[in-house]
Amino acid sequence: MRIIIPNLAIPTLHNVARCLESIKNNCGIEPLLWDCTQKSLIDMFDETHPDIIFLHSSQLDAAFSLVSQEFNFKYILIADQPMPVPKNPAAVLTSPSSTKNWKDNIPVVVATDGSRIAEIHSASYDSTMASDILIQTNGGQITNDMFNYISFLTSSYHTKVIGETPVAFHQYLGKVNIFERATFIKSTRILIDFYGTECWDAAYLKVPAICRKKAADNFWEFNNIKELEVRIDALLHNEQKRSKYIEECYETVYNGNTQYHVAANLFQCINENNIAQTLHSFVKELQV
Amino acid sequence: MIGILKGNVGNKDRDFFAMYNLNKLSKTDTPCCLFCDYIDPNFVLPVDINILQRNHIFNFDGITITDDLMISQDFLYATYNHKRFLYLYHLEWPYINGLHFSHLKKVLFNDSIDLIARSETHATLIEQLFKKPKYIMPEWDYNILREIDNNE
Repeated sequence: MRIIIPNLAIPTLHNVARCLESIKNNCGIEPLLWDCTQKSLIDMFDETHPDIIFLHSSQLDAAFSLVSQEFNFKYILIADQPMPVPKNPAAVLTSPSSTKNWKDNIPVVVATDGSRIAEIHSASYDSTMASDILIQTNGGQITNDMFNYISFLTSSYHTKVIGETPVAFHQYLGKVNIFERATFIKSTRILIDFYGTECWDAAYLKVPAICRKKAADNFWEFNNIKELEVRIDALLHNEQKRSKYIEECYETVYNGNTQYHVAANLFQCINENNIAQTLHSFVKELQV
Repeated sequence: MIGILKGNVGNKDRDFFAMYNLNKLSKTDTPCCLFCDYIDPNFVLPVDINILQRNHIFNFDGITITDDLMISQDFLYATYNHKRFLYLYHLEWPYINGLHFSHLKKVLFNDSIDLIARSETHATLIEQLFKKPKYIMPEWDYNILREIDNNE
């Protein structure tokens, strides 16, 4: 079964692609990344004859109308709101805030955050990247609020800052690739998550995370510097508390909060139960 | 022999202190030279040491020191140098456009490149982030340059 994923800058698509790549030999699928800037939709259909394809709402043009008449395929639409389409999607992949826009007759899967296991699974501790506190700046602008927290953390603890958005602190070490990111997380004692998205990966790697925004019930949050300080000190100096918290977060990740679960839900919705089952089994096998 | 590697030498604090101390060093028994691209004609100090074009660094077999993080990328290929030192004069990396950790890693974690810090405070930070600086040299102090030449 050929599954085509457009190489668009949508994190969920990349996560699905990684998950499918890791199970492709277990369930006879052939996931392919489609570079839609280099190859047209019609050429891609002619060459690959996909069984399942992911399409963004911006790709549903006249060429799509043509291929929907000539080819037999299922497609998963990535969109925030309904739009007129020549062929109904098998499912819709949308953001949490857009779920309410969709009616009941189309299965909707929400692109939730979760641990990107396929990216981080092989991470190991590296003393050159070690720190007490790790901060990532991948989620966009550095707000004043965030700047104040980073200022406190860099002046009080052995802190390292990595990520796409530069911050004017000497502890900022630049952008990192997925392997470096995983190693940085594995080599820190505490991850501070300002966006509520990185804590899942930390939890999977058994590194405690403290979040600025609530990610799940089990994850600790902070609302001011005092609170943050108390939580950091507990995780740095109370080994019992630390171990308990790490185990709780790890369990939370395994109870449906990995990108494998998101991908499995998606394929369950379009009645590809074999793929969904394989994704579930794969993630279960990884559990330590 | 000590060779200092720079890009353009101009009226900047680190160039001023470098040249001031290299001029003093030239009056001692420690031989030294400067590898650079260009010296600003308005540079305020006289230059009393030998100057060579920057690319001659690749044939130099003495101790090389640079204070420029960007130029330190050349260091990776200057394997003929007896010893290579990166002097983190200004802690400038957060201000490099499009900084990628792999650029820092290549130089700052390189086993054959040693680090020099400018002060104890800098040294503590550099050790936490990268590795322990081998020397602390306040503002290109020529006494430390002599010490490096003797030790290495």
